[in-house]
Amino acid sequence: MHIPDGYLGPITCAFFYIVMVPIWYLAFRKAKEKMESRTVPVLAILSAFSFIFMMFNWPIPDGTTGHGVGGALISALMGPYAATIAITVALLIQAVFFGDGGITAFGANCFNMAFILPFTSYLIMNLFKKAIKDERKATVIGAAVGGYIGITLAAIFCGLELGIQPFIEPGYCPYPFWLSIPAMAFAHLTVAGPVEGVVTALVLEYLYRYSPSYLKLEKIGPKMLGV
Amino acid sequence: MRKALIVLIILILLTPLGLLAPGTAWGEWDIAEWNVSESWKSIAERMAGIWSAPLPDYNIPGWGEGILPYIGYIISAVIGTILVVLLSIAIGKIMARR
Repeated sequence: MHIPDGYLGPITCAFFYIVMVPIWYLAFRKAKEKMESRTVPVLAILSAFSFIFMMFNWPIPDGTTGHGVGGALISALMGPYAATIAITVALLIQAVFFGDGGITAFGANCFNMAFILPFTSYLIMNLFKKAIKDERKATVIGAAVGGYIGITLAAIFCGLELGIQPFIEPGYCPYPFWLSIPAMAFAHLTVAGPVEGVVTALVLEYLYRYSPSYLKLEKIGPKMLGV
Repeated sequence: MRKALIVLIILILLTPLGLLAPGTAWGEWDIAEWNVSESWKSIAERMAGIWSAPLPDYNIPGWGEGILPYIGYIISAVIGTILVVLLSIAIGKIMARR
């Protein structure tokens, strides 16, 4: 889901930078309110986890590849604003040093993977927490389902951004949305989504068993999504 | 925290598994492979040339043969992880400052 340079026209690139600026600002401000120095290493480990997790490319039945992001896990442990920061850092290093995701497309890539994914999964997890009494069950299942839906929604946004290019800014991604959206949705509904969901559930279940203190970290997220 | 670091190190050593999947992610092909006119490609390629990463595709440039790409992938994972940790700790420190 890392859109390279040359796939999005300048207007689309500028648009997503402009959209991301207030999200980055809010994430930083909220984190500044709630972040404690003892949780800084946790944020760093989770950001590193996301970076490494994205290096595991999985085969998609149509001959392409896909990967998980770890956004649902970070969101479940530290809240979606913390996830925005952690994933933005991973995406920045990927773009600048490894050419994975473009510099011009960085705003759009952050919008999909560092905003849509963690905020969607957080909302869904909290809906599960409201519906299911058992906190542990609700967190594990809710975050996993949230990861599955969240990464798929992020991929659909990615497909939309690519697929509108031929109509609004010809000269960049030539493939229309009726090809790009189904392709992105398919890869994430079949493989990358289940990977994101299962890994989220496994890590949360492990932490509940052996290091439950990590589940009590303060969640940095908007009250609105607390449900 | 020490356990988490050990898990990260194990995952880094396993990253070459991520190279086994055949093909490229949808929409991440070389622009040269696009099925459009050369003039269309030249517009996109001008933008794509805006930045060249020092370790493109998580590999050392020129390490294309045999086992080298897998070693390059692990080296990239190590370098990337260190950079991500340093940057997130720097940002985290600013945020945690009262």
